[in-house]
Amino acid sequence: MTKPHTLTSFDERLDGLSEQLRSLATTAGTMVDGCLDAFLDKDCAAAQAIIHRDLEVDRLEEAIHADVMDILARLQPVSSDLRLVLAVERAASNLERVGDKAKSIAKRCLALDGAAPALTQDTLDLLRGLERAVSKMLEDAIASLTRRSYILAADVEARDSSADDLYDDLFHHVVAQLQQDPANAAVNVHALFVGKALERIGDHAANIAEEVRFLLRGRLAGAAGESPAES
Amino acid sequence: MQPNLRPITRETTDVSSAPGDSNADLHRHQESVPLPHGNRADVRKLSFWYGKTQALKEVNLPVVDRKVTALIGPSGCGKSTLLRCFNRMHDLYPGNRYDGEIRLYPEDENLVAIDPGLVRLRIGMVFQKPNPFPKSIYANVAAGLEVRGIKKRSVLDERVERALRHAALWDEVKDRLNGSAYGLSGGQQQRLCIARALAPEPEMILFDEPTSALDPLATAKIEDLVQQLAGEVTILIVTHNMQQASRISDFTAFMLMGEMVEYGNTDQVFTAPEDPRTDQYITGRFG
Repeated sequence: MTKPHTLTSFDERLDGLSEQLRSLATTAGTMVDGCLDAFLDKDCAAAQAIIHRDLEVDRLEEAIHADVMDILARLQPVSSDLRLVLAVERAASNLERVGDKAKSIAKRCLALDGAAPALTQDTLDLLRGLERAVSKMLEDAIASLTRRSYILAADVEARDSSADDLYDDLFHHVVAQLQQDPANAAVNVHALFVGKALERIGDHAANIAEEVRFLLRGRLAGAAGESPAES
Repeated sequence: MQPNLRPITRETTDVSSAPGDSNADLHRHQESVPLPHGNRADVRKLSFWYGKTQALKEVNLPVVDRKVTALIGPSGCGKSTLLRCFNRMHDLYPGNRYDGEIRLYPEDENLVAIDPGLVRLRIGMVFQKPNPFPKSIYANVAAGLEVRGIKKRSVLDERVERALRHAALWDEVKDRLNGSAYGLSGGQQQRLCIARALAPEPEMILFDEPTSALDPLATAKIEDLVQQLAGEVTILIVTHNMQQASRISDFTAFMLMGEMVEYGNTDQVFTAPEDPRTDQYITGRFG
């Protein structure tokens, strides 16, 4: 149980910062959850909503940056407080990039101009598998921050290589499709870019998990003495 | 956590020369002196009692040569008590008692077991409030030299100027060296006290909250000066200002209730301390 600060407004500011990050994570998370369905279901309205939501993500990220600057200047946090502020700052930047990737996927729906993607079932399965993996990674990365769980953060980071493997599978499958079915090359290339965007979302989730480990241990990932023990 | 520094080269004054001999007094040479782990001093299991009240409990602390070591902790934790052990100030009052050692290198002598007068010739101190003598600026800086038997005017002139330059005060006082020290501002008086401590070229200078009575600009000048001096003399500083400790020290020690809780590189102590009590204190979650 962390003791409260003697200066009570310090706790209020840090709590406020964490709350802002939760809002950003929720908004970015809903974008990720909906973007693949919008692409596969040629749901342009849903895609437009996701694109519009990215503005909210950008606004929340800017608010966090401003708050971080103010906290650093006025409260001069050190030790675990400093690590929390830095972790939130970096997590916010990663979540903003997550929003960009989700927006990028939604935009591909519009680029198809409402035409149903003519993708093979295998391609669909690979995309959905990748989307499930990275969505769960993002959810768990945020949970590891909220619950201050070192083990969960380390687990998220470990799962990043699985997401990379799923993308590699998709890549090889789509390349084969391009050779077998050149008439549907355009939609398959879109699918490949969607897969790459999902894989990058997994990277950002892993980055957030890395920040959680830094927050809890005060060491950057890979630093000497790191061990995957629960905090 | 003790830093493992290589042996260093130390510049020393040739104390075998006759006092007052300008050539001899100013003869300085480079001497290779291996210090254990690069430490100028090592506190080992030091306990201290004010009468029956124990103020320090088996404290250990390395003091790295020509670096700034900051002692932090809440009021009553023992940091000033520890600092004052280094120049045996406690010996001025009856009933005080030491147990343990402060080894001073390279001689490897126990500071708390030798003549306190000799200790004070080697270790200077600057206090919370500027405390110049009611004398001229020149006489204040020369005082410590005269105590050491240096009388020759040309030697005194050179050493006084050197100390005032090191204390970043020379340009402000060179035209009024015979004026009263009390005519200086608070910040200038504190730098004068630092010059007074520097003049005998001590091996270590102790600073006991040296800026707590100064405004921000004077504080910044003292902090800059401490950092400049660290290349030449070992510095141990007590401060309640943790931003100050983080700004100017190379190593930080956190004390609590007479015990040494944590010692380490300042960047490590202020970003990822090992002990949760250190974290609670420096983040303001204490008490």
